Amino acid sequence: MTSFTLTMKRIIFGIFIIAVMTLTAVFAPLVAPYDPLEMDLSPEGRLKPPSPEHFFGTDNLGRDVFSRMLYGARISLSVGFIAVIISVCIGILLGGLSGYYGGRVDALIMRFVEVMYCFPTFFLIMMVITFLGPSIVNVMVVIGLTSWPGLCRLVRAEFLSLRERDFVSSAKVQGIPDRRIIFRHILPNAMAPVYVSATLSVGAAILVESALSFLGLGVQIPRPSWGNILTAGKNYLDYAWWLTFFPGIAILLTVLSFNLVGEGLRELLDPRLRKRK
Amino acid sequence: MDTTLRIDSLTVDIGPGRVIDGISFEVAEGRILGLVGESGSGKTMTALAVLGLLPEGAVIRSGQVLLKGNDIVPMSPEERRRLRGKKAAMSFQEPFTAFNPVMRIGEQVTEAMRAHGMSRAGAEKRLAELSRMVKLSPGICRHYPHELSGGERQRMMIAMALSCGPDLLILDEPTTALDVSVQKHILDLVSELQRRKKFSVLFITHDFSVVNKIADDVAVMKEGRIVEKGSKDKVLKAPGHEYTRKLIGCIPRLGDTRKRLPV
Ligand SMILES: Nc1ncnc2c1ncn2[C@@H]1O[C@H](COP(=O)(O)OP(=O)(O)OP(=O)(O)O)[C@@H](O)[C@H]1O
Ligand SMILES: [Mg+2]
Repeated sequence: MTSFTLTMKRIIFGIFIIAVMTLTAVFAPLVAPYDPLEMDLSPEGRLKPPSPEHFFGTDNLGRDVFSRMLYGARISLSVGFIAVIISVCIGILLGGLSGYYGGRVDALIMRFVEVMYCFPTFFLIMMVITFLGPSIVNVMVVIGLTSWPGLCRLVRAEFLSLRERDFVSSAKVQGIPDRRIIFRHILPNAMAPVYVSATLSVGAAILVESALSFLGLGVQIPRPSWGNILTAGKNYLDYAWWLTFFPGIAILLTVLSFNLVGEGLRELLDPRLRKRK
Repeated sequence: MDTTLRIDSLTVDIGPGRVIDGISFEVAEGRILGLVGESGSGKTMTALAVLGLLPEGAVIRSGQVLLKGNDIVPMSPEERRRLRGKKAAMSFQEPFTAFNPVMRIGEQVTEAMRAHGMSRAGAEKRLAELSRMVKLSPGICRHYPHELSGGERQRMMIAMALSCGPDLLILDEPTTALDVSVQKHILDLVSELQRRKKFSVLFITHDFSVVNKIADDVAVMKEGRIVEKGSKDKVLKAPGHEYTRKLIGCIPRLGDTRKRLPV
């Protein structure tokens, strides 16, 4: 019982943070007190510490860090969500085919998954981005295209056990076509672990995007993202802590929230974990 | 007399094991054949072979399965799919697990009709007819499987099997998972529907008292072989095989007081 309430508290905390982040991101133009690109290069305007006018201070070019953070949230969250949507689609499709048909289809897809696992993903992403050129769209697509193998295995395992169930045989007996059996009968019953994995992946994708932007391979300046605000701040670490502190905290909180929700969902949805208390 | 289903020296292997060993029998048009045998004798495998749905690893070594004169053994998977539901349909042993838990019952029944080319409106209309036909209120179609009782689920499964008007209905132990009073209702329902709609039935069971109530003909199966077949009266009155006598011996007879234990 206590573990159940604890799980619920974690999920609610996570959802609350994610909701706040998402709302401020969506309504950034309304909430932001300044234009995120507007510079003030006067000596008094630059590197101002947090104050009532500038909640999170200003950066080396006199831009309002709070406003930049709000616009950066748009990028980080949309990269996280879109990359995961891409990865979930690929994972479900390949994992589903693999688990449902088995045999040679399965062998082929699983070898492909193993090859994907062999590459250190982050370096693969870096390599591809260097070839294609850094942009938000490329970052989303590349994260999506490289992060599906884990999910693919998960979906495959679910399909392997579900396809043996009576209701699947029953649908086959009725002459229901395979496509419909896969998407209407098996998939809805296999979604629980997909939700868990997808939630955790959003956090991971946000982290990857921040890291790429930090390395200059993601969102390009002057457009703000949490990662590149952090980069700009690292040169002023000694006397302008707010430039690195706020984006760092934002990344930490967001990733933490997605992990709390993901783990919480896992505990709620997995009957084996639930019984163990 | 025409035959709806005719199985001709069918042999099926799964791996090294022979699960069906050269069986031959037929289901005549408009008649009910009771396929009887103990657990593991290969009854379900026979039914799946008729539908072209043998489990992975099963190989048909020889023989023919003729549905209305067409052999399904050499057919492509897609050809077989089109026959299923339309020419031959089946209801499963376990009414509890045979429905998708996250889909409404009604939707699962209409889906079969849609898969065989019926319009949405036509399928909805037929769904109401079907549920009345199996003596349930059409409102039940909006429920999820776990909200129905075992008997109701079995009725809906029969409705689903009959949705596309099959020539052959295969019932795999439709009463085994149900209690005795519900069993009787299901048997009455099957014989009534069969009399009205004139389809043929392959009725699988291990219980001779059920065969006695419902079947016209009987085939007895043991370890993948048919050991005895014929009309019900002939097989029940003068069983020719030791195994058949043993199975018949399991029926409790009314008025049979000899074996009663002293109170
Ligand atoms: N997937 C499978 N792989 C290998 N052998 C199987 C498989 N399914 C069934 N068998 C074997 O095939 C034989 C026949 O099984 P079948 O399910 O047809 O029996 P049944 O007569 O329907 O029994 P019951 O009354 O218990 O339903 C059994 O010996 C069983 O062990
Ligand atoms: Mg069986």
